[in-house]
Amino acid sequence: MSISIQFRDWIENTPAPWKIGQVLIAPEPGGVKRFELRHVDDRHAETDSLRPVDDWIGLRELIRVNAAGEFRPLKAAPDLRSGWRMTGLDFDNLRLALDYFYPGAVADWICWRNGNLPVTSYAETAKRQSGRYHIARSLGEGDLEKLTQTVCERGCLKRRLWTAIPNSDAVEGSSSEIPLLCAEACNYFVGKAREKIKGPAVEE
Amino acid sequence: MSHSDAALVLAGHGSTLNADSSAPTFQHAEAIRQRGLFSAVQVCFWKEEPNFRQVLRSVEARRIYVVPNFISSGYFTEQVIPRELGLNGPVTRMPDGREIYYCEPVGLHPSMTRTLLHRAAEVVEKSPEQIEDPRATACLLICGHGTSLNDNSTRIIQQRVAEIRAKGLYADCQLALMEQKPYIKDWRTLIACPDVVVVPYFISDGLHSFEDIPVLLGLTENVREQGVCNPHIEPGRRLWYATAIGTEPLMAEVILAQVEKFDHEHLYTIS
Repeated sequence: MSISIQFRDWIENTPAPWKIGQVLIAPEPGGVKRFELRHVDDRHAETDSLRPVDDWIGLRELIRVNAAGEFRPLKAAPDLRSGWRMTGLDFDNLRLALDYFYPGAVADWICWRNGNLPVTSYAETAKRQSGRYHIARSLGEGDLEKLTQTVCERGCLKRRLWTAIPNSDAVEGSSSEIPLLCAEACNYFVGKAREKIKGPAVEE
Repeated sequence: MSHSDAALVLAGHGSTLNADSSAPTFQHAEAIRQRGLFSAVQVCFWKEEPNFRQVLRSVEARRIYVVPNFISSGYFTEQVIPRELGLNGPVTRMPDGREIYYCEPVGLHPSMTRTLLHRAAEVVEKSPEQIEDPRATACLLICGHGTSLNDNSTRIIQQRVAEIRAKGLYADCQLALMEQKPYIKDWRTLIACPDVVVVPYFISDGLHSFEDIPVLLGLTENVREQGVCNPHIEPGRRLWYATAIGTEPLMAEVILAQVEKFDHEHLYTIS
């Protein structure tokens, strides 16, 4: 069964509203299957008080920077701005919008539920690196753990599946939540590993 | 060949520092998606999410075209993308039966020449001053990075320059580079024409097109903040500056042309 169909099944059979990361998904009133997205902090906000985001360019702009205007290299960072809403999304556009907020997260979660999400250890990820990231394989266990504290724990809402002690105890969260899963150290993390070994460098 | 049952994946570089790098990849994906030519259009990046490693999990089509949104072939298109996506050639059959069609990077397609000419003409048209007869007075200057590590991108620009010269639409067409001869900073001695139209051969705007190249050309305004004040005028010269070619909306056509090219070179012969 395709990911889209499984996602639709889950929506149709799970009590609303639904949550993914800092985004709340709610059905719009009326018989037509349309959905609204807003920040979880705006759960009780008056609809009219929220700024409409009505195209993909607007959505890209919303997720680009945090409230302080800083670029968000990690989309699952816990600093998504609030005060907006997206409306009138059908299933296809709902899935697409969620892929802007949390790229690949719905697919990863469905794969995980089906028991076929490949999880890759840091050692494997590091071994694959070449060029300027070749050095990432020399990150020691202690530094790896420290880095997951500073980069992952503080800066990302994803639940890590790839460390020795995964923080996946509560992967399912509440039954109406799509968990953000991290199946492999991301390239941002690998970049930080390089920095830890070699010191900060200018990105190429 | 119809692609309505196939997916298109655009693979870009991305950045952990700003959104400039990934913006054109998103822009072209959105434009192509709107046309409904593929069952799905996805993006993926080296430095941003979804990473190359993740993206194929989200794509359900049995046939998937991957087009690198890179200006030339090199380390990323020849090593990193194939490694991260698990590709073993132009056509890869995945264990689950899906077929991945690995197209050439956008910057290599011959239609880039037309795209450069369009961009150059447009930047002049949109300015308050026009070039009466570009065949008599204007040089089209294509700017690249230039690096000793991999000169593929320089070779590609040289090819574009030769094609543009052959068309005879401009009195001259030249290549200039940031870090190698012929240097951009020497444009005044390299070019004899009074009118110069500059197009950077880069996939996205950013440090090079907003800051480095304007400084090398001697433009005084802050291009990132204020945009470009075209034409830049100095004694005996007028210079128009276009931003990175990769941000040109026509690049969506180049992406589609790479898919067509792939069909012709790899699939028509199979079926």
